[in-house]
Amino acid sequence: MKIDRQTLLVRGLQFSSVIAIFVAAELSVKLNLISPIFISKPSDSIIILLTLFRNGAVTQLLISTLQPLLIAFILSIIIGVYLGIVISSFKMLKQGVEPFIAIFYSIPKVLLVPIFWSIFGFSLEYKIAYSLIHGLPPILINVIALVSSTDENYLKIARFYGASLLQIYQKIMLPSIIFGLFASLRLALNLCLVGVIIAEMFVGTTGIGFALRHYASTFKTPEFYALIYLLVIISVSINIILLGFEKRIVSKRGLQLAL
Amino acid sequence: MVFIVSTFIRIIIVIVFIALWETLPSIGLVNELTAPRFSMVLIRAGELLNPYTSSSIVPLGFYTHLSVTLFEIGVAFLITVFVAIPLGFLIGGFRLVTQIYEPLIYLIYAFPSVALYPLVVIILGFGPPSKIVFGFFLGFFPLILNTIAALRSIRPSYILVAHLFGCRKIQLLQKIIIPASASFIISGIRLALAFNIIGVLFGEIVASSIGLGFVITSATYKLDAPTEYAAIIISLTLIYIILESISFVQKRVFERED
Repeated sequence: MKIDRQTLLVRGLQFSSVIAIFVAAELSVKLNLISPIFISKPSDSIIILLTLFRNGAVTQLLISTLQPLLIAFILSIIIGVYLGIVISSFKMLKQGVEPFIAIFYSIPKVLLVPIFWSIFGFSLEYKIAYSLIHGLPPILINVIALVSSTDENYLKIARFYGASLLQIYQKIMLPSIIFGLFASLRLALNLCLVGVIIAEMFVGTTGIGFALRHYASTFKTPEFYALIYLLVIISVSINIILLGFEKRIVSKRGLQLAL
Repeated sequence: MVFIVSTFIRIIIVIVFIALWETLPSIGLVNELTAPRFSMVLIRAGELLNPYTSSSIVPLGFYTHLSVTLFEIGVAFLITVFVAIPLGFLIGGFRLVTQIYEPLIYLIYAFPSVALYPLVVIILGFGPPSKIVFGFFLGFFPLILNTIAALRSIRPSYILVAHLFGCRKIQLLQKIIIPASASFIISGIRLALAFNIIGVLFGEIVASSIGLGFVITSATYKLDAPTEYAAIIISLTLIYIILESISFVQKRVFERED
């Protein structure tokens, strides 16, 4: 792969400005410019993160945060796709329900966390349910828009050859939305992560959100930053992986269209 | 015809929702301690909104908390607008700077920033400043990204023509850059306000001693479910009205231009 000088320069400057922030943090603590309660030395936090990895404490944290995240994400895909198809198959139902979905998408769901907590209590279901309401609306909106833009001719031909409703869903609707669906998956997964962190931070005794609140309230700033770095790793890798998927699928689709 | 039927369906959905909310707790399918009947919530909402009875339910009265929250949101919003838009112009004005910092800002925007809130509390304490700063922090990134995108969306030919006719820098800004980017920036402002509100309310719900979030959380911890639900419904309605009115203004202004 050829890399031209412009991209090299941009990448280099990006990398060096990230490094500069770390160096500035390190120096400002070392020279007593900022209290170590507010900002920890990055070197300390990275060592703590590495020890967390080495003694296995990180697996506990990751399991208790990523398990509800993934379950909620998969549930919001399944529910979003099927519910979206059902809603958009009936024009009246679609027009009736759409404003409620839009309202639910736009309200700040932070306000609902006490309700979820008081209904589900300290449980895995609490995190999953609260994360689900973050991830579901974008997928649902996207699926409804995609189904509405399915080519009418496909449906006509399928009906003409006597395809059953189930066959129409399986053979035409699902394949036609699956490509467009990827656009909302990244957004949904990011929102699900926000949901899990909010749920853990509000109440609970497990997960990264709880650990962050715990370390902050006991003034263990280096540990706090170590967990922030862990969360950065999770968030960045989620976005990079899904962006890669999007690009690959878009390029494959482009190839199909060209053929 | 379609319009009438869909309105009918909407009304039916609302009625079914309220009916379920009213009946499920009373027949015991849902615990009334955690999900009170709709009528109870409605009565409590009326009591909260009545200035004579609200101080007996919430200390200091409901309107004090409401005004504190609105004040925090307003200040956070003003700071966001006055910091993010100029900074966005500064970054978006230079192509190399945009190429370097836009992806980094996107990554920060994608990061679940709510995780940083405990640190803000440590630095600024329990009071309104921590909520204002956190609200600003959440609203800053969508607005700066929209401003950068707005500057990129301006057609180069416009600027070329302006240069050709000997446009001065200020005229260029006034006549071309600002009008051409206004639509994008205003949708960014709406998004920023939504995030400001999320930041302020999240701050109040996790750690505070005053504000709407405090009313909700304290009612939750006291197992006073009707007050909790009433406060949530009132806040959601209020926020929805604020956000919708901005969208309304946005639509009005830009439809008239077309």
